[in-house]
Amino acid sequence: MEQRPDPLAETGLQFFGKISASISHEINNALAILNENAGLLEDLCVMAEKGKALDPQRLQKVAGNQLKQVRRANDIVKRMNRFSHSIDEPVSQTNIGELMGLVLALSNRFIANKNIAVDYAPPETPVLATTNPFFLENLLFNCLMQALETAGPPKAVSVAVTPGESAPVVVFSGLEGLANGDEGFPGEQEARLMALLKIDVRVEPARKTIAAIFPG
Amino acid sequence: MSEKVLLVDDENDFLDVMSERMKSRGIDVSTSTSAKEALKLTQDGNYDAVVLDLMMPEMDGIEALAALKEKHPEIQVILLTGHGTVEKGIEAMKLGAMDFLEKPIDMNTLTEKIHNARAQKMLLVSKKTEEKIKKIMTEKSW
Repeated sequence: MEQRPDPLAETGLQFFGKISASISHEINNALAILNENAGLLEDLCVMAEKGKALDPQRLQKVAGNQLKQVRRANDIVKRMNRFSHSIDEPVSQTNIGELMGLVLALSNRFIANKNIAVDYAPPETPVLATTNPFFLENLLFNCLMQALETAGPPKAVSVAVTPGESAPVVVFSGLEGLANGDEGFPGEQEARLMALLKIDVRVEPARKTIAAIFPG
Repeated sequence: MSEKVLLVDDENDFLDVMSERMKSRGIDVSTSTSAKEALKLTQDGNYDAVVLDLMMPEMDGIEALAALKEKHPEIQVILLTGHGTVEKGIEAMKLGAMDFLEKPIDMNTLTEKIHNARAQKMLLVSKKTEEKIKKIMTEKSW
């Protein structure tokens, strides 16, 4: 008998896998640059052994490049750590603005691959909701991916988190390619996440927006 | 004469250090941060090899490889990736990639592959020239 995991768990695992793969790619890129800088130091040593003078400024530049990549990898690992811990509590009071910032940072690679500029200014005052942070990240990531698919021209998406009139709202705007009925979005995965989180995702082609409206 | 190589990657820091290391090995290297720009730079077909990152914005390495091989079948393409998969490797080889290397790269391996790429390109160019001459010889009555 075929055993299939719970569809919601499957959705969450797919999301976790996608983000982990992207993060591993980013870390690997930083490691590749560190590797080449270490190789360059070896090259300089070989040249010094052959009598070519070592230039301290050249060495300083290599050290600076290495530090830059260490800081970059450290930021990526911090994001990964925050993301991994978001699954710790099934329900918690969550700062939506911060969580949206994390989702965007985790999506760097996806955004860069689409060559789309994403504009996001976190709300000035915290916008809070009691929710499941991991699955909220999943739903907002899916909304962002759909926004990237339907962005522009120009290739730009704006993201805003607002307290709303009665409940928080996350709006993805500038979706010039959004059309009536041809998006297939929200799909099955999003429907599961929306049911769990009691969030309404509205696709509004006239306004060129996708909005995630939290329960009041 | 040194090998003429175009190195394509969207990470400027990677391009800087790689090109410095390649130059110190006597390779004539140019760089580009996008596949689209790389296609323009290779229009005259005078590179022995193109070292191409698989994951790049707008046009990825596989797409760029297909476009390059269509225009310049003799250009040797070595793909680089941060997360190589067997499937992508097979796809790249089917499209005519000379080889597929995972980052971080071993510079000696890459240098060796670039030497081989030049030899392979020269062989293909000389075959093409030979075919052209044969065609002329059979078509013309002297």
